[in-house]
Amino acid sequence: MAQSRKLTTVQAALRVLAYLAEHPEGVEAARLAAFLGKSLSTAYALLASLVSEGFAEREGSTYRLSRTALAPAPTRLAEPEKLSDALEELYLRTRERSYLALLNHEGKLRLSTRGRQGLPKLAGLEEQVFEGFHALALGKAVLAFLDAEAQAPHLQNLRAFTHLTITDPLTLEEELTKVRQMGFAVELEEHADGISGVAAPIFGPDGVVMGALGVVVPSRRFPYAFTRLVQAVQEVARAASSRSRVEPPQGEAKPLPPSEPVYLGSASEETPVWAPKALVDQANLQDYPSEYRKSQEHPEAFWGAWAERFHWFTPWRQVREISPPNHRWFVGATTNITYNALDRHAEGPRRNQLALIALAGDGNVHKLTYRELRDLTARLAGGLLSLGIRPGDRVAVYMPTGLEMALTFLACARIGAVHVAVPAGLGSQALRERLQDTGARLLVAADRMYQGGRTLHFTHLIEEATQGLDVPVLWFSRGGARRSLEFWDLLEAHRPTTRALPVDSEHPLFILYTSGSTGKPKGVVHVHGGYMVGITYHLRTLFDLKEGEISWATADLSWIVGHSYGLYAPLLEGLTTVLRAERLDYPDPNSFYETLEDCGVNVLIISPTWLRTLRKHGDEFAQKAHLSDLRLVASVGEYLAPEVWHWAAKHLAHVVDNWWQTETGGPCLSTPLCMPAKPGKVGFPLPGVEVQVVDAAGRELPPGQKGHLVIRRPFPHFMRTFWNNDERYVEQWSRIPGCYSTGDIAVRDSEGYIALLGRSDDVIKAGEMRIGTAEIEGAMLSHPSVAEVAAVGLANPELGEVIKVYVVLKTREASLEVRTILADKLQAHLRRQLGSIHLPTEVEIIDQLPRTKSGKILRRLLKAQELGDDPGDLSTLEP
Amino acid sequence: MELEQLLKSKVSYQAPAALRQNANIPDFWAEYNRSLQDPEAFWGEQARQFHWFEPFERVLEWNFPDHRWFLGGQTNITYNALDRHAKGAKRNQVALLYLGEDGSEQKLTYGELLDRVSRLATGLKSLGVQKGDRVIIYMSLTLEGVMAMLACARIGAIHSVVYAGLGVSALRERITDAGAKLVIAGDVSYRRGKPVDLESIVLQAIEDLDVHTVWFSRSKAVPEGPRFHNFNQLLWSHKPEAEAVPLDSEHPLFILYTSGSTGKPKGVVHVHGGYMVGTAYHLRSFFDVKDTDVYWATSDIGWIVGHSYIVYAPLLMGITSVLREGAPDYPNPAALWQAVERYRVNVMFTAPTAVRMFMKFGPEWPARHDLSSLRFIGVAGEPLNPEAWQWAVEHLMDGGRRGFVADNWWQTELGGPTLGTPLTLEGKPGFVGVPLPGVEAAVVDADGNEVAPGTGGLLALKRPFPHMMRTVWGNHTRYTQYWTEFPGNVYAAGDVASKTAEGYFTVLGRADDVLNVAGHRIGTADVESALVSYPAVAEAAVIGVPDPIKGENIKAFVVLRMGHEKTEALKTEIVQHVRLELGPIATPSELVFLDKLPKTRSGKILRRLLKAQEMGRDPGDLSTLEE
Repeated sequence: MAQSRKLTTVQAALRVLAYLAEHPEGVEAARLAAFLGKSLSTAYALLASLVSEGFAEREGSTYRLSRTALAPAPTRLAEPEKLSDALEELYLRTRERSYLALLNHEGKLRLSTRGRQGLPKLAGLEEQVFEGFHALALGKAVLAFLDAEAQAPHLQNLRAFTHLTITDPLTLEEELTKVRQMGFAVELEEHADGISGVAAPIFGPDGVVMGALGVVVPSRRFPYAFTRLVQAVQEVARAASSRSRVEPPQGEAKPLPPSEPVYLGSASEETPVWAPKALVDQANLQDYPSEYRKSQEHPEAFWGAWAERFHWFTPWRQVREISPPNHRWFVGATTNITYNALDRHAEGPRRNQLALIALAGDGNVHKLTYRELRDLTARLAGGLLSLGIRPGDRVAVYMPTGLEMALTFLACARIGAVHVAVPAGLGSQALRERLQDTGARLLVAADRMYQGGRTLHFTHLIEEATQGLDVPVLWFSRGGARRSLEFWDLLEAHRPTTRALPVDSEHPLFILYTSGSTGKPKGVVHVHGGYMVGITYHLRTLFDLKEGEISWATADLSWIVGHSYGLYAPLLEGLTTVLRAERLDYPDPNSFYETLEDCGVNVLIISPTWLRTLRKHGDEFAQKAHLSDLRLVASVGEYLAPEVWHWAAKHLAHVVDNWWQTETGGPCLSTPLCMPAKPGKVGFPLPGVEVQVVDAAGRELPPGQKGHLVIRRPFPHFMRTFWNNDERYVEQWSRIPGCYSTGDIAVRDSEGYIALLGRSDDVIKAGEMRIGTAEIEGAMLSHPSVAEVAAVGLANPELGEVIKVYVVLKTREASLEVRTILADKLQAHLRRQLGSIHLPTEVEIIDQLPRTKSGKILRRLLKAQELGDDPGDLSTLEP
Repeated sequence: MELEQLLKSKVSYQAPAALRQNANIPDFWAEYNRSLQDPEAFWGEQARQFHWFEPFERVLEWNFPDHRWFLGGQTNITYNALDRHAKGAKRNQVALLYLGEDGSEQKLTYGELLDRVSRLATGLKSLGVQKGDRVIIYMSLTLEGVMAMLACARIGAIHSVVYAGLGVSALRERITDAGAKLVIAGDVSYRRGKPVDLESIVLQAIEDLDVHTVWFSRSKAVPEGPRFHNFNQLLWSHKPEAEAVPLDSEHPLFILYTSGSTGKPKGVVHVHGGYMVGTAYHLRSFFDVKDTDVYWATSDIGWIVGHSYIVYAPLLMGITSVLREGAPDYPNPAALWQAVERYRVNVMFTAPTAVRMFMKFGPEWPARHDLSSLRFIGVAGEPLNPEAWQWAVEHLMDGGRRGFVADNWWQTELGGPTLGTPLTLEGKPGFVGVPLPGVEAAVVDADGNEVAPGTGGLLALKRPFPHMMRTVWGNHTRYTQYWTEFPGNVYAAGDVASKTAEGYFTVLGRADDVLNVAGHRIGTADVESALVSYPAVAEAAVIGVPDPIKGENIKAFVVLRMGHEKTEALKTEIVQHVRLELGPIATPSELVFLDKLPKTRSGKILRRLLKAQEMGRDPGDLSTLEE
């Protein structure tokens, strides 16, 4: 993917040069403009300045790289009389720790070094080095030019010095081929953590390699210093050589050996990690296996007992009624989720307890007690009634996370209306589709939203979306604008007297469209009764919340995690929930930790995306924070790589990875506190949830075999249907016979831990291999240079699919040259991590990954761009 | 209303039946009798509801005139007010609700308040504040002011809040008398929509004094200098590490200065143990506060009512306490009632002067708002006249159908309600009520003999209770005087009172040269010395004249030095001078130039003559009461 939105002039110029180098036949300006994603005039301006600087030449309408630019740089260095002068010269030119390694008759390298205090050294090296050539740039620079016989002893014992050391012979062979092609060798923390280096060979009069010259630097400086170092090392080494080497004949690329199916090997197995003892001892759920058994053997008694904790205006006749794939719970009962979430507490001991703390994007903080939240909800509910909203009517909500959005949800639910949250920022066409699909009677919308220091204006978008539709808009206007129908005016005009309407347990509570990463959005329907019972069960037993605690779900309220754990479950349980509209790292990463600290958050519910971002920002922010209240971090939304798991556990609190979907309302798979966690594996089916890993025919697969993750039977908080699309719901239950297809690929280990490997539509079939994108991405993230990663499969007529991996580096300033080197390194690393060097992979380094508003990586978009396809509905793409 | 008429009056009010049935103390007399018959068992039982790091061995040691309570016990009032709740189910319950005149609100939960107080306490320690050190707090009614008090108490430092409105010399006198090493000050207070400068008063008051200052600055930058610190920085740059220090029950909690007739303000000392037990007891028993109530005392942290019933007792009881900065009638006369509706306030505590002000605005203001949550209003500070009582019952309590208006009487020295009308008894207009549990009160003559029912006399208390002052700071002799003014080992309250045969008391006013302006005690001597400190003034006398709203107003009579003209400009200048020295509440509302002051042969200024002339009364009328 060559396109990038923000290019500096220098970056653009470099790209042009790189592109010209790739096309010696000459290129036209229009093609370059398309390549850069810039206007034609910009391309012309760039080319003109490159020509005037002598980097490019123009011939008619085509441009090519200047021949003088292509010529090798003149050797300015006088040939040193002695090799030690070369070492001195290298040091003076680089001012970095420099090494001279000379091969003696025993085949050992004799090292001498030049540097000053404070520069890193290759630790643990004797003056004479024989072992570990494969881990050192100096060693590889020599090794690459030795004949097979001299090489052989060095390939016998490929010891790992760090986890990045190349230890398999074929990868090393590839590496050495590259050294021969480039004329220098690179070492990226392969010999010692934190140290990287480059080296170039020195040749004797006979053209035989006699040693190498090289430098090492701390890895963090490596990308910046790279170009300068390579140039110096090569020039000095060339000058020190008695004569230039004989170009060895280029070997034909060996065909890849036939690939075999591979599974996650036991080598990558992590030791299970227990939560801190105090957490385990006081966990709300103490005996997972027996709880699970109870839920499976007596589901009616199990869920019935939990449901007794709530207020029902009329009791149920029957706990459940299942006629696959349809299911009903608490049949015959009436309740109202807001009665249980608000009135119960407002009239009891929690009257003056904070129900929610809302941190708005404009800096306002709203703290509301249960009594206040109930009264405001009742007032707004009265306002909605006055607008003619009746039970069952759909009310669309297009607002940023915050108090007003929470009130809208609750007020709708209070009078039996069905709320339909549409993520603020979604395009007008997508909003219009949702308004039409649901037949919404009202749209409650914010006229703007503040994010990342910007103001996003929605007025025009909303007017466009509602044009010609009979959907009035209730405006939440900020910044002084006043419209005829205003949110707060409507609320203030009504007394807090509207009571919670008793509705049937199965009365729809909300419709929520699943995010667009998998095609056309579908409206998932959840209901008052079962949803209330199910999500609170998991809040207590999995997220382990106690009385008097504060939870913070960082997800946008318009996503399922926001619905369930930002709003309903904590209120139902009488806890305090934090809502925050702003990006977690705006204005700086401190603000995330400040919110944790100031609000005294006990349980954080966050996405892996944000954990990765926070990790990327560095540890110092976390170390400064005073996080004594925080005791649990729940991660949901995507695959959580072990590195990120460990980072969060170290810097925040014990991590509970969990897997679920909009369709399931609440968590399905996780590792409760009473069980040890295996980072990278999400864990077990939670009580009430029966899942299996099956093949396409629905047959359960043995441990270790990858297959489709399916749900065998519905639970109370499982969706009821897709709005206006029952067939689609039925289809989801019949794609694999007798069960609900989650669309995810998973594998279960012998101890029952389940690992998610990615979406089945993201699963890559390369040769005989099926491999999940999550698996690939997890492997890639274990490399210290990698910040973020996305993997897609690209169709290849011979190999089925080729794995293409997009990588965002931790250091963005890396030059094109470094990127190329790193891409090769990463590719080798990936193959090694996945335990197969036969995988057809391709690594590309890019500046930014395209994401949905919820933070999911849009692999679909990457793939479409690669193949030149239509990327489909991009309405949920982050602007 | 004249005394005799009053005593004959048969009018009485009863609280609604539901309120009486749900009263925290359903049988008042049984409770009262037990408190007198076995005070040690009674107060011991109350005390055991709190956390003691070290349990007490004895409840009371009464060594006339000194009394010590909960001997051997170790506690910390902030542990009971904060940690107990913050570490339990009330962690996220709102502890303090701050309201600004502009309708802005700030809430702090018990968890947050503990966090902030602990941070600030750590910060105070970093400035070298230690156990027993005195810290002056000169801040308006803000969350930060409350935090400052609690942070001091947490580390065993003794806070002395000076009402942010007192003038330069009043503040300076208190800083030096207390021997404070630190002043925590606000740069402004907000009143009637405008900032009122406090900074310049503080800077003048601390001139040449060896004190550090911590500034809570909302309007200007913190003053520069090595001895000036920033409140917010001090708070946020420290981690919440300071734990509540275990302190002896009798460790001083605060010094609060009150005016006397002698001219020098008295630093009343209250202690951690007894004050905690007593003030909390009355909040539950007298104000009948329930666990989930929203409670609002409209006083200020500068007064004893603010200490006991905005800050300590509500927090000790784990309820939600409202504080509102600014004027109660700004931006409109319904501001308070709007807040009562909005926050569903259940119990209020206000002053007669405020009730009379609402009366003046008229019943249409409260009528605009839904006051259905309000079921109890306590009123204290000065005598509540029957008209005001009646008006409050009629217009704030739906004619008495919804709730109860309870008059009560107490003083800085007494820490909490002493005489009052519990909601299970009948309220009698003009009568403050009966002695509350723990209190044995009498009306005596100058020889200490009890006078007959219906006869005027001096109010005396016959025994101490846990929340009664321990001493006068730096002047224990002055403390002893309270107990030795009359024979009979009784505490002289300094008020003129009378009592009916059924035991209802009426308090008529001060017996000494102390004025009561809008519920605040102001010594005539304070004002007079401020007047004569103006170069042009030779002699001065001050009296209180009745005011329909404030109870009393200050009227000053001034004799000028030779060579000064009696001009209006000079009058204004003199009044301004007093305002700067003592603050707005002690500023004379009227000033008259005289050629000479009436004096006795021995040279004592005859204030009562001035007063009698002013009121058009025969000066002999009051002689029996005054002497």
